[in-house]
Amino acid sequence: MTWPVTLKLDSAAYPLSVAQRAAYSLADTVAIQIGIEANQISLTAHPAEARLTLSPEHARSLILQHLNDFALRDHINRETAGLREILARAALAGCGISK
Amino acid sequence: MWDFQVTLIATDAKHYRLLPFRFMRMNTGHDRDILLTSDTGEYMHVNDAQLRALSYFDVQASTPFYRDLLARHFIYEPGRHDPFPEMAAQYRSRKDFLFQGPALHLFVVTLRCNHTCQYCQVSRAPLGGSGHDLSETDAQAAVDRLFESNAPALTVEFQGGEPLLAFERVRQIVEWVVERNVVEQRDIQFVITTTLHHLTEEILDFAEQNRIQFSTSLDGPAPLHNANRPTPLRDSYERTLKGIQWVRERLGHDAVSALTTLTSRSLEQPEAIIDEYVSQGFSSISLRPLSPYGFATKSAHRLDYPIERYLAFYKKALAYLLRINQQGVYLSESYTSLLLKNILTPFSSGYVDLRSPAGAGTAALVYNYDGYVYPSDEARMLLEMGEDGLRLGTVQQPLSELLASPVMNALLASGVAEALPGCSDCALVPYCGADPIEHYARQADPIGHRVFSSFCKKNMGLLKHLFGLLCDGDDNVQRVLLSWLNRRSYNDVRFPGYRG
Repeated sequence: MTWPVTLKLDSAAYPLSVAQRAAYSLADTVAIQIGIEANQISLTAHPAEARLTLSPEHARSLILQHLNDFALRDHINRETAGLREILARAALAGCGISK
Repeated sequence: MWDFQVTLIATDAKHYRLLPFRFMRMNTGHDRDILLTSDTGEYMHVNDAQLRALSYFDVQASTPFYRDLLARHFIYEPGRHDPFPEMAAQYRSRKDFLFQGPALHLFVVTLRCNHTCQYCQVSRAPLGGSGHDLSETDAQAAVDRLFESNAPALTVEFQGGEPLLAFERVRQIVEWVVERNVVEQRDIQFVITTTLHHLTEEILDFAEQNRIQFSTSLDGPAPLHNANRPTPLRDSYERTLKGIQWVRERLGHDAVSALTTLTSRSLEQPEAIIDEYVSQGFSSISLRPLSPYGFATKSAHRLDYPIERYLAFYKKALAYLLRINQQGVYLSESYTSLLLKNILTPFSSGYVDLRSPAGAGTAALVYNYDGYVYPSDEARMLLEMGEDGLRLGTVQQPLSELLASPVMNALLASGVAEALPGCSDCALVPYCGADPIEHYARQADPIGHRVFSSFCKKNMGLLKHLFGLLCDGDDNVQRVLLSWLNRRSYNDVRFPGYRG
């Protein structure tokens, strides 16, 4: 495997916001270009710095791990949608923060 | 038959619901490598299989893991258990600083100073310089602003430059505050941040009368301190020690505390710095990295260092502190104690940099020598770098107007960590802060990119290290950490706890 590392993702499994969060969180390691083609999201990753010693294989598994973690966070956020706001509203009543 | 079975499994799988939580891989190599945290600050260490089971409703109700998740508010059972009143109370305790106005009021009475420190964070004017002192009119207005805050406990801190060079203004302000407080009845603490080089009997008499505390700088042993803090006679260390001694003789041992500033050369000698604090009888040391403000930026190429170097220094220093505390010395690291409070108690440490929403302006106000008001000491330091955009207004404007200024709106818009890119997914966010001014100083953007943020790297590095010690440290290490949290001696802490 050589640089750049490319991944094709099914957008049903990895929504765009998941791909964007993964790219953000890895910005100091790999610079990821995100493209959208039909129902697929394509990621093209380059080393963030020329001196980076990360192998393309390692980069691929790192990106996949981050994608899977952010997909799981997305699932948790959907399951708990609205609860954070309910909690904050109940807890902070009276402090002047209305929303 | 097949459909029926699927329906049964699906129904059974929903015997609980998730409550909001975040997770993070700690990269420790341990089985339970994933940290789960709730918005109320509860935490657990789990493995991949447990995280998956939790998230997809596959944790069996009879297991200890299930009971832990329930007790720590990661899940709830609809119709059987309503966790929200208890969680709201916990969340309110953690954010209780939102219910009061600014409590820390810093008066920059002069910029004049006798030192020429290369890394000076506040910038200074020559000893005999003019036009660098807070006027009487502005000082009076600042006292009015102070009492416009509804905070029941107020800290009045005098800064510089060297505030003792403008002692008459310090005296006036203290007298005005004391007089007003006969009616106001607030709990007021006075602090003078000083080199202690200009102490006199008169100043100590006044400090004794008004229970004024002193905060000084001690960077380590004489060669390091004097190299960091040049004076014409190269006697900064000796004069500071003499001042510490004098304050203790007159006002008591605990009337003076000290802070370190860590330059690049400091990072090579953690044990020597700590030994100096032990030999001077301090019970607390603050190992804070250099800030990118004031003159520090101009000297950065010689004095600054990557945050990774600071983290390596911190870990070495903390290991040494943990060792000597087990041998009977009581010396806590103050930032560690604040982080421990955020992790292990339902309360906020209250520390301005570790607040979300950000503490700049909401927790602290700075009345500068020129009559302008800033949301934090760091914001006024940026002024000395030519950046005046972070002014809230002038000291003559009422507090309500200052706190409604466009700068405050911008700081608050970028100061809620839970809503910031990167932070919103971070499991450490319940224990951390936002610090938009630091990000503005370093990245020219109050939000900044967390992956490249020194603030984020520092707090993440320290918090991960502390979670590692709390999870894996032996009983003696945990006893030291708990002794710092409770401000009790090591021998008084019998049982380590909070294993998460």
